Amino acid sequence: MSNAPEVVSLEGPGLERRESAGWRLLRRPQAALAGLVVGLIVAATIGAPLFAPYAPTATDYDRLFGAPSWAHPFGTDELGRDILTRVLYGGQTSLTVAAAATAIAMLLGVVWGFVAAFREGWIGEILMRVADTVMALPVILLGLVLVAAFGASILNLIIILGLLFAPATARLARSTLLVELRSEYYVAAVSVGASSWRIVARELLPNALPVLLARASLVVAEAIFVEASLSFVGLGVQPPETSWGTLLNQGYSNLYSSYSYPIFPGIVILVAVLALNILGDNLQKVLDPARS
Amino acid sequence: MSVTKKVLVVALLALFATTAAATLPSAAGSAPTAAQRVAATGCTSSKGSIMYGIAGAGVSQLDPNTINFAGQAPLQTLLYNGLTRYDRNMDVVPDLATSWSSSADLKTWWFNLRKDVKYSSGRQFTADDVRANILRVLDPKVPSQQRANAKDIRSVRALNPYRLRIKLGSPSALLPNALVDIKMSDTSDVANLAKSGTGTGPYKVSDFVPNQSLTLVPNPFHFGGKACLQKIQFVREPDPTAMVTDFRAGNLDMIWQVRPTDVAALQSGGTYFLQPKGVSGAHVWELDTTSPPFDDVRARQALSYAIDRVTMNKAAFSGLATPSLGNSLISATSSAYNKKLKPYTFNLAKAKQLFDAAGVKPGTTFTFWALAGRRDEWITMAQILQQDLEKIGLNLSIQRSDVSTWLSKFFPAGKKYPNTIIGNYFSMPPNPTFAMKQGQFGSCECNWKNNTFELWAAKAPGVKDLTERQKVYDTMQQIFSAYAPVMVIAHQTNIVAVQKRVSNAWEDAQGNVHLEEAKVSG
Amino acid sequence: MFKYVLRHVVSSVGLLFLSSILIFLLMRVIPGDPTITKLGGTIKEVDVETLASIRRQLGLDKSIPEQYVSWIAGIAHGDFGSSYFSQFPVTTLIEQRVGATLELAIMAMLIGILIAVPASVAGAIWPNRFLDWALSGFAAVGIAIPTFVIGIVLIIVLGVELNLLPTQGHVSFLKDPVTSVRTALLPSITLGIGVAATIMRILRASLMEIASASFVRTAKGKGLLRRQVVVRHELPNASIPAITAAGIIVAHLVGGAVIVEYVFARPGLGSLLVDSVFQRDYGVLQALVLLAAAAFIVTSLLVDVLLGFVDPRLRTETSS
Repeated sequence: MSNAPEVVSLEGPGLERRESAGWRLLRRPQAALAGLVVGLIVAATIGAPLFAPYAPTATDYDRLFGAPSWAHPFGTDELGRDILTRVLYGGQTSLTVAAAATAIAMLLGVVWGFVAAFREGWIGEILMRVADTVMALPVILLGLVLVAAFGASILNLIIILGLLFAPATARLARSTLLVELRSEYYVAAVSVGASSWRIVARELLPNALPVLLARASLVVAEAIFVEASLSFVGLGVQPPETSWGTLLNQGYSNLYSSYSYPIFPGIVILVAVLALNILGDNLQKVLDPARS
Repeated sequence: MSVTKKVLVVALLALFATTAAATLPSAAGSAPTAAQRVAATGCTSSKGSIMYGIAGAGVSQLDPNTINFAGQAPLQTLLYNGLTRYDRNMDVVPDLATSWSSSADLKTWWFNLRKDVKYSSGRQFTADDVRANILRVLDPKVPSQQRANAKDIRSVRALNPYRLRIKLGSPSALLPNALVDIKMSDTSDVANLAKSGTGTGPYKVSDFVPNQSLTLVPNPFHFGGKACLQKIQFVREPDPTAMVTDFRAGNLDMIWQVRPTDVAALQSGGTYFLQPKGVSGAHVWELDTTSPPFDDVRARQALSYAIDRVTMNKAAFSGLATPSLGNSLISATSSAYNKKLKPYTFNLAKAKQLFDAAGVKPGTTFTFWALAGRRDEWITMAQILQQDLEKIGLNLSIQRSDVSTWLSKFFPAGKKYPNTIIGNYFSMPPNPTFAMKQGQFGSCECNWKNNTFELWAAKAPGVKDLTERQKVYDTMQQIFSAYAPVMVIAHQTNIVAVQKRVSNAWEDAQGNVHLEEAKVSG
Repeated sequence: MFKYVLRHVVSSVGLLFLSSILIFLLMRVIPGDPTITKLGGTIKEVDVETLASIRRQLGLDKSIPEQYVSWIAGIAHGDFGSSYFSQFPVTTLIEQRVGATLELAIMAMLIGILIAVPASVAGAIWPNRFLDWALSGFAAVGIAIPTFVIGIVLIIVLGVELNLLPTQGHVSFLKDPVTSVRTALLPSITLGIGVAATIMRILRASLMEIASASFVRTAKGKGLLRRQVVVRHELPNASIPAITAAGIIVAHLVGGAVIVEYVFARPGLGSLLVDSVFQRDYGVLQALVLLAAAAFIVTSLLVDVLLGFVDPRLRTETSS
């Protein structure tokens, strides 16, 4: 749901950066706040073993579906486990899956797109057609089918999500690189005899990097989103492992036993995805104002 | 009392007992009463409508003899009839057959049929239709659940348009019971059976969107009284929570298979629950008794001791199910239950002992194989087992998959699945013979073959005396409990919630809902 | 121009074929097949023969390329096959449900546009910091929040607690327009929020970009009112990127419809799709995926052709 369409500007490539993008980013209040939120969430989930008040699988059969209280700020679940703890540990899973899937998507997508950009003939066409084919099918559908095919372990989810998001990244990588390849700089360098691979590695890739990074944060957001959707249908992470999506699913399923159960995971997902989206948008604006 | 008086009393008692026994319908087939003969709906006019909600799956096809989804059971009696049916006391009474009788050796049966029955297409129903339907159920190319009941039928012959003779391979007093679930569909149009729903029942189909909704309206040709409602709609709800939400909003009049944890949220506005006379089914965990480690009976017994049935009942069923401590397919609340079974009371020490004896090393991982999107109770129970197994050094990995993937692991019987525990649910027919059939070789996906058990199972239907038959059932349960081919966790009744405006719906002891006499007020 | 259109049409058809092959193969690779689901999990006695004969009936005993070819051949004759379970022809099933999905999609699109366009235009006319912040906030949240969350919240608040609108089902627009719209309202709003957010993002961004273009300065110089400038000059140009995104929006609609129909128990193509995946109803699934891919591809094609007309620069590009 957070696929921002690429509006590729037909003007020249990226500008020289005068001051670090990081600082410019922080000057925007929206971005700073979003960055802070993301940082907090990541820190809390990584530090789950430190911060969590209980063990994630500690059951309490006398306190099933407990309402939020001092002892259990987010309440307890169907086996009496503390929901706050499960949200923290679930965050580890959700963020790991999202980050790893994004890494795979970016890596695969960049290689895919770059090869397609370089070999603009037959090979490039076919590669792009395949990307379009995958993109033509609804992500949820493909996700369902692939999870049904290969099972729903964390590793499989990472690979499947990575594969699902790679094509869009490939298109972006390709169009970015095409623009670079037409720049006077590149043409000049080639005419002087510099090897194209060297140029790619030393100059073009770093130029394309900002755009890709910005895209990456959006992919992370979408990965969290799709993982939540798959978990909602029951095909996500398997118990007793948990993820935000699974918690949301179980919360909704037990809505009538405990109204508060789904609220907290839902808010956490919303805040995380929102913050990542804002961060990504601002990153895009900061790094390449020629693009919207 | 003088001797004469004593003799008189005994004689009177004997006479009374014999007369009572003779009028028992499940014995050698005596003629039903006039009241039983009329399959009447009890209504003289059709008014009102009912919306019936089912969660997670919808009606996918309408052929009554190949149904594979318990949620569409009401259709069996709304659209169709069999030769016999169950009444509210779970006695077998006439439906399309007016009476029946059998030979003394219980191998030949005769059925007399009603002469006033027409299909909703207007066509007359005759003995040829009965023959065609029974043969169809027996046909191995037709995926019919009911074949298990009818397997022993050797021949079906229409002696005249309204009289039928059935010959069996071995004696059975239970043929009328077995025939309840074989419905008389319109075999003159086999190709359209899945779509048309043409039957002899009080309702017929007016609109059908497979897996989504089904609308029924009165059948003008019905033989036994007018349909009580003008419309019945079966609607598929995406999940149990949505189903409860819609019921609370007043959009649904009845909802099927409510989860025990949702019951509390439905106790308002005059909502009531159907009270069946027996349990509908059992939550059963199946093991492959032909592959390690559960090919060793000690490992199976160990698992049974490691299962904390009481806590699982509390957490997964809000205490509303009946834990099966004796590990019997028959519910502890049933009169056919063997009370002398040794209970598998939760005991991790004993479980560890038995696992060690069976050679199951610490660190072994079992897989719990369950459904995604349905039966969340299984996951709750599995997580309890997971915790408990951890305490004795064993691991449980829980895997949820969609129905197709889930099924393909262990079905049909004969597949091997080592180290796996399959979460499943067995429907419980009220008669113990049919209930325990599910443990038999060829039927049970546990692949368990015990010759003694099979011998007793084959003998049971032929035993006329009920006390003697109960002894057979006790023995079968004894063997089953000792060998523990599957883990019976708890028996449960299907919970059906009904708005107060609806009356006269009932649930039979198999968990099937009957709407053929249902009506609405206001 | 003709060459441009032809190239796009040819590649679109090729794309369609590829999609069909992809799904065909995937379905055959997954464990579990319709024979098993058809028999159901509660059947206690099934022999190998029954399974085999069902497979033969469904054509599953032939090799995969053979199955694919017979499927394609069927389509060429207009026969899209039947459901393995209900035996209804796929075309009938689609007919039964396409109305619900179309109504949902159209209403969601309308709601999306009705929210997004005035909001973006207002943001461009009155550059107010608070308004700007509120609008980008709405756009960001609208894209971030999972569809099923919006749906469930709406169901509980508007449907159950306030009992304003029906929470499930479908009535055909042709039969009863008023009830039809009422039943479709909650699901359309759910889907429409995401659409609105997507459109707003693009529109606002391109409006901002265009605000500094030369022709705008000319218009301002002519003395036109701010709102006239925006509506008559900026909006049409800003729409181009938005139209480009139409393909993506349609893809979102298709994907989002799957979830929304599931949550609202709406008998549309989305829930048909999910069911056929879980039941391994190959016949239905293949036809539907083809349809989904076709919708996306046709929309992209139309968009590309439209843009080809509008933006002459695109026609002369040597690669797409």
